[in-house]
Amino acid sequence: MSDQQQSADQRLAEAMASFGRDVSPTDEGWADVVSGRVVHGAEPGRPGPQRFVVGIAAALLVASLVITGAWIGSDDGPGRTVVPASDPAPTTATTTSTTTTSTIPVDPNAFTQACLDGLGVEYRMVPGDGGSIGFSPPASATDEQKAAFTEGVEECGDRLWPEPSPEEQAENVAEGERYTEELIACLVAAGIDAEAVPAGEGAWDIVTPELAHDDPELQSAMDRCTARADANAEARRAEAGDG
Amino acid sequence: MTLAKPPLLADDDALVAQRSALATLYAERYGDFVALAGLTSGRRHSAEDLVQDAFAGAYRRTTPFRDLDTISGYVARSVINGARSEARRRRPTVELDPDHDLPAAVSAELSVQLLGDREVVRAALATLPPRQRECAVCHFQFGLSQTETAAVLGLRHGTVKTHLGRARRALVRALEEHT
Repeated sequence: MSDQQQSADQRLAEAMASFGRDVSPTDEGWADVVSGRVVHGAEPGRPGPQRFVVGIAAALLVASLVITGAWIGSDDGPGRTVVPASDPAPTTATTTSTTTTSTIPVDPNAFTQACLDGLGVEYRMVPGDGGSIGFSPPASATDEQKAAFTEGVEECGDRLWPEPSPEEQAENVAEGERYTEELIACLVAAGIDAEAVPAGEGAWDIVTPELAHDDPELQSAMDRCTARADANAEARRAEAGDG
Repeated sequence: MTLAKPPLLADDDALVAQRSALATLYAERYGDFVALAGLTSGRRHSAEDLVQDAFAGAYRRTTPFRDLDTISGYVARSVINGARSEARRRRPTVELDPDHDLPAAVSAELSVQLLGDREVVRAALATLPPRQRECAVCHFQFGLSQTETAAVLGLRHGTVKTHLGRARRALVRALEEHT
């Protein structure tokens, strides 16, 4: 191993070990754990200006969820994998082979079941919260079988939502731009001084110079505007699907 | 009249012991858990929420752990499961990591070189495939052995070794290029 590589290994170890060193627990935090009152939300007192990022990768993820209407592996605690069944099904997913790309109707639960069967992975289906259906390893599964189950679920998830083609990625980048433009227009119309700045790899920073990210006015406007942009994006996808 | 000993006393004792162990774990490794959540999910704020949720879930658990030594792994797995679920639900607008804007404010005690390396490593981690990233964070940051990482992530030991090898090469390469 060269000195440079050894040095980089050492720097990697130090950098990784340093994460979390500047974060301390509080008595209030533990009191919330004990009481079960875990309050989610932004930390107060963060100085502005603040920025939001519109990530194309995240947009792709949301797009895939909208297209398929459900997702695999929404883990409900250790050792549990849940597929929500409240979404409309059957819906559609894209499957890719070496030579063709086609869109077929698919029920995510049925797809997962068939996929796990095809891989020879042992599983059991159990009802989850809110009418969802869960896939779990057999109750008597060994650690090896549990590991095979986890990897099988991941493999089936990859098959259900394969990596987009270059053309699809380009379209997704363009869609990210449209989404960002709509978001900015909506924020400005709501009286928020907001600007979109390219952040590379199809991502955009939404800069709000006058308001901290946890400002209630900004949060409210962001909720409203992202809901509208989400709805518009979904309408565009539906239109493209109809075409 | 002699009252029978309450049948759940042993379990109650176990429950007290495990909650005490949880409190100790929270006090001693909260920062590591937040880093675990933040680096795997890429979101610092929700990282603290994920850790609170995981500890609250473990605290509410009424079935005693067979071995108190497994609590750390259980909470780590809950944190990672929470991060995975959140990533799947995430709307396309995400908060910028505060460390990106305020490195000096949050890390005054760290050297300039270390701060720079942290940003390089954080950025490189973000480019790794999700399972590689989880393996790398569990092993290199959280300090789990390869076997423990496999158990926490529900992967085979060989899979973890492969992921760790690839992740380490990518992270070291990023640091070397940054030099």
